[in-house]
Amino acid sequence: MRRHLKILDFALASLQRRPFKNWAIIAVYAFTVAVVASVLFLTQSIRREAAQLFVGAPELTVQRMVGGRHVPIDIGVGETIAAFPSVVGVEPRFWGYTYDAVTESTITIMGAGPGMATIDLVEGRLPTRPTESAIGAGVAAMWGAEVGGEVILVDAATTGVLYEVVGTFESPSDILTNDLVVMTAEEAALFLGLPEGKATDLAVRVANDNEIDTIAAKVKRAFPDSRPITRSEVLRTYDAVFHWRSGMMLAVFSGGLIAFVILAWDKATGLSAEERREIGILKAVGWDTGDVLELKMWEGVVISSTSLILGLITAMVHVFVLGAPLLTPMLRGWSVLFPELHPTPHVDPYLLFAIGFLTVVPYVAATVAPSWKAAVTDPDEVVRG
Amino acid sequence: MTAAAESPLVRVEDVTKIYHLGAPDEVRAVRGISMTVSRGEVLVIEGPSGSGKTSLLTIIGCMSRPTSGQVLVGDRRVSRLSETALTSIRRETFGFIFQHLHLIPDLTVKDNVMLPLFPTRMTVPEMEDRVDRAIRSMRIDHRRSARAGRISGGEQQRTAIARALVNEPTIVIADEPTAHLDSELSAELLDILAELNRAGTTIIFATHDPRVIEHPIVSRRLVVRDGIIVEKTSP
Amino acid sequence: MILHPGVLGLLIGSGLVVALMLAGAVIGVRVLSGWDPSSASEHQLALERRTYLVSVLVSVALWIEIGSALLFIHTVDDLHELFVGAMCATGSLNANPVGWWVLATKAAMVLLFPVWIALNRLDQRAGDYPVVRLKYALLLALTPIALADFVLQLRYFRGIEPDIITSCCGSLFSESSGKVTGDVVSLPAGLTFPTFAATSVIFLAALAWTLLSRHPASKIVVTFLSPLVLAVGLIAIVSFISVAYYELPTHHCPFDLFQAGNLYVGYPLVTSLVVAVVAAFLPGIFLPVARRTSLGGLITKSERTWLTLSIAAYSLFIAFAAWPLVFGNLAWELM
Repeated sequence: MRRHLKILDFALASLQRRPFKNWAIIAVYAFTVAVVASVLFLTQSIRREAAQLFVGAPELTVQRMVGGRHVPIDIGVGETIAAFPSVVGVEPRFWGYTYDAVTESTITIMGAGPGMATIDLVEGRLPTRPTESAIGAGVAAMWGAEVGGEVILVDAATTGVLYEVVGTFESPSDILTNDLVVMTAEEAALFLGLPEGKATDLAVRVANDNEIDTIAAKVKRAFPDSRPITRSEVLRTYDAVFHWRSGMMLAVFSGGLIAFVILAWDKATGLSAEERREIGILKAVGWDTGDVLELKMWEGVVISSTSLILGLITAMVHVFVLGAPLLTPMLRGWSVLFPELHPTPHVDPYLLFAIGFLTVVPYVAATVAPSWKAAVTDPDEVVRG
Repeated sequence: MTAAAESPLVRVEDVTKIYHLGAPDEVRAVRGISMTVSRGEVLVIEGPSGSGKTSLLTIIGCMSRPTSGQVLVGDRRVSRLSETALTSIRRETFGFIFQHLHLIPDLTVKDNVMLPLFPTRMTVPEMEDRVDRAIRSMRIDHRRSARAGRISGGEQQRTAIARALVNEPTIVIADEPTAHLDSELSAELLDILAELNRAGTTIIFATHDPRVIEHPIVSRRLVVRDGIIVEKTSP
Repeated sequence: MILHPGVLGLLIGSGLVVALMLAGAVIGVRVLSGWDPSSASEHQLALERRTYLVSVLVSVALWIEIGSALLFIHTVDDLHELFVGAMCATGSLNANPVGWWVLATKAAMVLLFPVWIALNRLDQRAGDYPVVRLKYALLLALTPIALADFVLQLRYFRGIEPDIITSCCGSLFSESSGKVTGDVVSLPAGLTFPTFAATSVIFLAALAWTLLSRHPASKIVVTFLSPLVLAVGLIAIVSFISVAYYELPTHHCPFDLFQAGNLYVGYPLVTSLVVAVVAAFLPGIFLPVARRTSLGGLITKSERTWLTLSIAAYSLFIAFAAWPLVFGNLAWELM
């Protein structure tokens, strides 16, 4: 143990003696780590944010499918479902999208209902009269509207309708509320042009979590044209999508990773004459190949951990402080009103480990052979000069 | 005298060293040499450059392995040992003073002297202690924190000697130690080594410098030419 | 195929291990075929230098493999949310049972690599490379395991599909419905606990006997005991140690021990067991080579270290295993 620490000590000193070369490789290494870490931090925090929102979501959502398409469902269906044991309540929901030509963006319209309770209002209240609305931060910014102001939207009949703003939403619910305009349920149905007695879908509350799947099966049996979706399914789908997105981005960046590995190889192979001579001296004064290999290994450990720490800090600042400005374009989906990201700083040890594994392992593997090559210098070569 | 003292420290039996064996540029540096090194002696291996004396020296000093023949250090047969085992014997038994000194110029005097002790099981205080003693005995303690590249030639030479002594070797091997020194520095070096020898250290020189060969401390001379011993003298 | 950062990391890691091991095996074969310890030709010296390359390649492969085993457990755990009915890592493994084989190959490597490294260290320090052939034979045996690990792992990740909402219906009614079960079957604690206790006592006694007497027979006993101790230890973890930590009589998933919720207690628990078992495995296998004079002294010295290490590690394992039984709420209701 003692011997290992002494060699570590020597490795530290020897790295300090070649600051330029080592900082150059640390800079590139840390950049690679920062890229990988930014992708993972960002997708992780979006997943978490989404998952938090679903905490208050209904256990079961029932939609109607016709020809493989989602169509409005009879509100009467809800009454039948409400009679099932364990079902606490059924709420018809009215929501949809509208395109706003002025701001060239798609806006989500939603009728106020009990499900809204989990969404935090930053200011004001939810609408109670047909002429009132509450809007998300993105919509507010685009219209320059605050509480007390007005927004004009074009409804299903292409008539412009004026709404008084009585409340605004803010993060952390940003991801779902950014492009949102909430009206009273009746007004939303009207605005979206839903037929009388129809809702977009039904939110079913179930008292016992273990019963959710059973009730979903019952709904499917009672209404064969319905599609019951459980909350956990939605979460799973979100998870899979975000895993896929982060994996995809990493795959895109793997080119960069390979470039980095080549650089590491090159730096490790291209020993200067001075370094070569130094290793020769060490061997001549009584270091054996194993000792020199250990020296090289410690150098790798120091460089890796320094780069890892610097890269992780960079990624945290990039994602959690600056809101990942360099990555959001790639995550942006269909919506122009993509939320401003303010990911909550949260770092999972598993994630750190995965980042370390993705970056350190290729580096170490790339430097094995060059280190060995340097370490087997014959001590008597030095004596011969 | 005890039996242990009488038996030679190093015994070399019919040793050859061939570089690039079988290749067109094959070099037969050592061609069948037998010799011994006894405790307390000052041995000079004399010969022009290219005579094979440095090769012989590295074989005696466990720095390289002979192509054929036997080398014994104490009663341990070392000629076929693995590198790790050979290195550990070298660390325990030999101290080297190289022709070009081979200090690391960016390191301090103290760190240069400490180099051989890093891969040992010694504790840091023990190491510091050893280094202190070696540096003090060479009278360079005032320069201990200076970089080896920034001190005078004489001080560099003392640093190199301190490094050779820091593992408290029984045998010090000096390869052409005076080749690049003026007469004042050579005399100083020989004085230091003479003092060491009086304290019991065995010393082996490889040189063709008459200032060394004719020095009174030398107890035995071997003349090597073309890889074989051509002359043995004990004054 | 699930494109997940952990999965990418694992595939890259296993791929590199295969590359390192193949390189090591190729060099190993070349070293073996040209090996002539009596020669000091430059060819032989070059071969000796290559043995150092092989030892770094294998050491690096070991470290990657240890990391990879941990990453695998955590990735599989992270993935369980994607499967209907999966409660923990066990569910993800059941989603494509090849996963259990991946776990087995990883465990085999984590257990066998240290044996190789111990062999290698002795071989280098002995001076005359006394076990060089044995060493490379073992290396050649390890390489296919690394290869199997890579292939099985690829098959595992290619074979699992997350249960997501499809366009026609919710995933609940897709084919995968109900195929995944969340728990591992476990033996009743009433049977496993006495077995575990008895094995532990015998094992520690055998270790102490070996340390004191250094009798060859005792070394063989300890070596043969160690795989048994590993098996009993793992069964004990599934059967009652994990249950006692979770304080839930029906939850047997051993992988949850590696999660933050259980203070990562799985790490010291499994690490101490593995260290104890590997260290106890060594003395017996070195018995055939211990007679060689160049190794005798080294092995005697190393054996003391191995046996002491094994006793210490196993005591630690017992301490971690006993902790929730002694201080937990659920302990004795199980028996």
